[in-house]
Amino acid sequence: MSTQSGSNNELTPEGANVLKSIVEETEKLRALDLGSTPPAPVFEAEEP
Amino acid sequence: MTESQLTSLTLANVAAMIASRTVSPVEVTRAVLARTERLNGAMQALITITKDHALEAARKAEGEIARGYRLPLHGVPVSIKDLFDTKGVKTTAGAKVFAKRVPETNATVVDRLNEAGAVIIGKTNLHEFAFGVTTVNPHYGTTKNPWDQSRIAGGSSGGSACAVAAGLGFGSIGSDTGGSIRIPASLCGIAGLKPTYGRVSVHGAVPLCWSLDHVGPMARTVEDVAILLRAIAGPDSKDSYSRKVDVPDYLQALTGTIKGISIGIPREYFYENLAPDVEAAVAHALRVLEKLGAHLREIRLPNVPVHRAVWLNIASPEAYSFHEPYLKASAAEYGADVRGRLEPGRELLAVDYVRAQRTRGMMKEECLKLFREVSVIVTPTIPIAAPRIDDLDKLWAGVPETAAASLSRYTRFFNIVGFPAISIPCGFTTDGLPIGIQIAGKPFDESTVLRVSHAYEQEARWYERRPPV
Repeated sequence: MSTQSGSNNELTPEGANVLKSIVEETEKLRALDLGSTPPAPVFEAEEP
Repeated sequence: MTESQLTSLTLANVAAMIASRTVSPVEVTRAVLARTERLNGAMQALITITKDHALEAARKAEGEIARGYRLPLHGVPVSIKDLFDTKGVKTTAGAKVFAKRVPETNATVVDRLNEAGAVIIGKTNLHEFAFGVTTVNPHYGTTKNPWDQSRIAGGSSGGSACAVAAGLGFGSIGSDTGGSIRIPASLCGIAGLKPTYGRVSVHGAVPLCWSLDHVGPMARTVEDVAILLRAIAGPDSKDSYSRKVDVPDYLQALTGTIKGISIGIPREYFYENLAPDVEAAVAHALRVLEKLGAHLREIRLPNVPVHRAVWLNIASPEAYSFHEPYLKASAAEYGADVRGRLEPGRELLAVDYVRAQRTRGMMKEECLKLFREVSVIVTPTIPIAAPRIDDLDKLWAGVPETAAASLSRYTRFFNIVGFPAISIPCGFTTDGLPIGIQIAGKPFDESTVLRVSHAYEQEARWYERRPPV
């Protein structure tokens, strides 16, 4: 699993299940071509 | 008026009656407190009832009104989620870890309610630390659904939705990071609005995830939500995420007319795998909107297949970052489900967090383009009605998803993009459980969201039904 940060903390069974689910979902995210898109800013103040 | 008659009024009705001195704030507050004290043991809607504070505020409002002074929420009893700091009053965030926490200052929304003359009757129950959608709370009890007490009220603002639906106050303030206002609003048959990111200050709210947290109003009608939003919205120097955008008079938007308005319908994903009663109710609601003169147009929302991954990779590490010291000191005091959701936050990669934030940016831009073609987007709020408390972990109707997991399926997208979204009732199941539709708009255009919601609501009139409590 490539999501380890190097932490040696043990996960509870609930935590391990949630992490497994996130890892599976994250594979879809990694397949996305983001081009040069920067991280999301907060909205600029503007009238609708 | 009897207690039952008084507490059945809408917020707008009771505010008008107080202003015209037909009823007094003390009379209304006493009626709400009596009902709350009688029902709260069974409903588990409030963690703390602030009876003395409420009566003091009601007496103050009564004196001011007698002297001719008027405020928008003068003397109107409301509740607030126990996530918002209240000076000198315990603020638990639904957690054992914070059981004895007494803030020294108010959250901005609390100050704004006080400035508007509201009477705060208490602090509502929630999913522990707002990290869950059921309000099955191991420390403060499970909030019941007023329409069927064997079922959940939803969450995380479940106590607020239950209180409003059951007549324990005329409105409430909730928070929403993945659907926590709209989910319980839908399950309890009330209106709940997640405003635009930055529209309402989050200062003094115990954070879950800074990038996705929103604060907003919950009430029985769209008009009531509009009144509450006007009272709590606007820039706040204490909140760096708050935006300097003027707050309109939302009541002026409630014209009843939506003729010619363009409504986007994202059939893909958002209309798939619905329970039959929900599918029928939402289809009927779309026909009502068409009858009112709206044009329905099929659209596709961007990056839907990855949006859950985006939410998880932002929410998990941000939540863990806040909770790290508390988990290190007191992990055993957390409920097993919330601890399990928090722990993965320390295991995820920073590059995936940035990837999620970049995808979020892309989704926002593409959604803004969509809103050049439509004024609002309409979806079901939730694919099912309120599940039984004992059935939360069961798969429903053959879909590989538990009932609990399905609750945030359609709501979290609008937390990621930060656009405003409301849930309002759109019918009932054959078992008599409420069903909701979600109406989303463009940034800082809550007025159009409220206008469309109000026009539908006044035509359909589901809000006139009351739960059997």
